[in-house]
Amino acid sequence: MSEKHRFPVLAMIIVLISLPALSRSAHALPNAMSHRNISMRVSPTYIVAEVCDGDFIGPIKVSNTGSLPLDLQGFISEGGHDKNGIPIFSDPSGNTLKCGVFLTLEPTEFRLMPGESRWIKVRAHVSDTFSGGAYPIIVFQGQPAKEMHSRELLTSAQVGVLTLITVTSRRKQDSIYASPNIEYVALSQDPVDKSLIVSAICENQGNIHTTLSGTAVIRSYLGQPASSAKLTPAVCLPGHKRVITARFKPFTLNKGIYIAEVLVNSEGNTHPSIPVAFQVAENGMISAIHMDLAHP
Amino acid sequence: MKPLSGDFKRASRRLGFVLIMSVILLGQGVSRASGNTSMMPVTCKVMPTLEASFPESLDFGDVAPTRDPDGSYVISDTQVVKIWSNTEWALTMRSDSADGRMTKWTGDGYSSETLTFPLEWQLNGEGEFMRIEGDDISVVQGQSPTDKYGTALRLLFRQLITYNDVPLLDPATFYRIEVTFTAIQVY
Repeated sequence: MSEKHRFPVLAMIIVLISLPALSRSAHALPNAMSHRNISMRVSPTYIVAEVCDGDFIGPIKVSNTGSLPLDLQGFISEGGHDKNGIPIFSDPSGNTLKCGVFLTLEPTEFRLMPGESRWIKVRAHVSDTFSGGAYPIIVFQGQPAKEMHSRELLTSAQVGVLTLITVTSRRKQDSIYASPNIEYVALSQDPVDKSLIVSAICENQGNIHTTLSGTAVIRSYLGQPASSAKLTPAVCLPGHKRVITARFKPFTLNKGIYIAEVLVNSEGNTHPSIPVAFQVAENGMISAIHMDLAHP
Repeated sequence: MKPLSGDFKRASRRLGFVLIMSVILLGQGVSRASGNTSMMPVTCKVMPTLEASFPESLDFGDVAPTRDPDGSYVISDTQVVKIWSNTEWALTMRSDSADGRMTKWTGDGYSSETLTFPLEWQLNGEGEFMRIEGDDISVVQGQSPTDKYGTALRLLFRQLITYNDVPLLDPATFYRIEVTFTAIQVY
């Protein structure tokens, strides 16, 4: 290479090397990163059991799958869920029998080196008078074994285990039942393929969890069935609400008035919803929805 | 049609006889063999399992305010949370500070000194930055079961530093907050 070209080539190389660094955000700090991870595996993470006082459920296997020694702690939260089934945590319940059932872990605190696993026993304590469902959430919290005082932003890792516990009473007068009440039915339509989605909000007014399932039916105004679709099954805890949906495959609805109805099955019983009337325009799209047929 | 010869008929009868005997003998052989064997059912039950990997800590380092509010944000590199699950799952996040503000850490505990603005986070580089809170907030929910490669969630954290924030001269003290991630399957 001639002397004349050497400098421009060198300059070009320097610019190319510097480009990635120059393109970085001026405020993204190179030292603002974490190099180590907390990794853990928990199994099972969903336990369904019928228990008597003193019974063990599980056990639960907790594993350290990362490269850091971990200090782990297990605790119990009161369980519950939102309308989409996402668990809601409340404060740790402690060893109280206010819900009729509490769980204890053996052990509650332990250390796992990288690659190690430990089986955790879970014992159920049940009050004499309780019958029905209890839904504690078991939470395993992991933190690096060493104290990290030099860090500004620390993280704790938690993995939850959902439990659906049933306690059957020996007394005949204590009945265990689920009672789904359909509060609301909603209709929506995909603007592209015009498929219908029927959703129902159900509240379980019983004292035990239930799996909501069933069908959504669309009829013509004269009562002839036009189509039906299965509701996606969903677990609903007592005292909680849950949305269940049915998606109809795209089909052509002619212009006219139709009625949508939801039939929810639970514990062998079928619970119908209040019918919802809706009007379909010439283009196959819903143009109006009337929620209350009793008051047109 | 040409009539069949006597030899051909005899040969056909012999062949038929041999076939029938073969079927009978084979059948006996099979039944005798099954009399000496037993079925061993092999079963298993796959348990609902969740594996999660979280960043252990995040250090913003030494930070300084500027006059320009936009220029005073300190932004982390991408922090990856990775989840493997064989049923639907969700991830929540909360801080140990009710209003999400970093608080002076003396080595033994928190003091009352806090930063003016809360820590904020953003998921997968999309949408607005949101402030972290003391109550669980949903990062993602209703996520489908993963494959063996898991699902990676990319989080950015940012902190606004202003001239109202008191510098900490003691090398043993710093502003601190603790973030708790919870991975859980859904009902």
